[in-house]
Amino acid sequence: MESNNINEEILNRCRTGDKEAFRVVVQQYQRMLFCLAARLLCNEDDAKDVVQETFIKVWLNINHYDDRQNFRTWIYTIATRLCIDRLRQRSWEAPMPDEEEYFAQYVAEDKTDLPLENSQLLSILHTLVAKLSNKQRIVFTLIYLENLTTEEVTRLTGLDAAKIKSNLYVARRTIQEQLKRLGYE
Amino acid sequence: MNKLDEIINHLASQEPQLDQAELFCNDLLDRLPEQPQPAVRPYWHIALRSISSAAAILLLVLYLLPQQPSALPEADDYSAALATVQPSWRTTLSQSNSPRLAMEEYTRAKRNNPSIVELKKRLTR
Repeated sequence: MESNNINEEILNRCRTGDKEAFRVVVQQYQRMLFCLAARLLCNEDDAKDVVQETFIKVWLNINHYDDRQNFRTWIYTIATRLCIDRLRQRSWEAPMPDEEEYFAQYVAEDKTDLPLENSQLLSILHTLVAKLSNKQRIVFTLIYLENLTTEEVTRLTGLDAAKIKSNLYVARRTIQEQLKRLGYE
Repeated sequence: MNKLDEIINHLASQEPQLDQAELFCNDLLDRLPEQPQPAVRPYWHIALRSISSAAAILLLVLYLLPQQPSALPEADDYSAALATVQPSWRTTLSQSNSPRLAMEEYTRAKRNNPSIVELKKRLTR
């Protein structure tokens, strides 16, 4: 579990350009950031790109980092915003037929207690959120999968509580219709 | 719990794993660019800015200093001078918003001889 903040000595060494000190930062947060990016983008390669971009941004701006702010929050915010930018820039690819088939199978076989590999998990996520708008997708992922509070989502996205609630409602309704077509209420 | 919530709970419990994390980290560190250094201004630049600021402050102070009275006659001298002026001009001068300036204009007018009518108009505006 990542600690909420960063060792002060490591931070100061990073500020002097010490890459070995920055290695500690990368090792501490890379898994968390990859998890976030993969869930938002539903693609492993894109997620790795965003994680790299995040760390580079952190490295270049570490002298502007305000020590009073929680480091974990700061780095998480950078990554989320990069993911949001990427979602805006690219068009969302519709799931392939085999992805839809796999999703139907996943739902039908009720394997909701088994661990999933990356490719399986991201395929299911990709199909699950396929019919959602970018905003709905982001809100759904941050609230349900990343387990953030409404206030945290507001801070990250700029959406107020009412918009978050309405996007979540529409997201749930859309996915429920999808499940209904597969025979589930 | 409905099917959707079951699925959400399951997917939330599954975390995508970063494969070959060590390799990823090494690759990233190799790609790190040089950190930008804070700009160091040369000394002459700092000196020039200081001089410019000082000059600007000095100009502002000079501008705000109370104006020296112009070399116009004092009140008594003004009255004496007014007495020497032609009667028509005397009226114009006393009606002017600034008798002192009017006096100055009159003096100048006598020297340069412009149209007296125009001058009267200007002074009594």
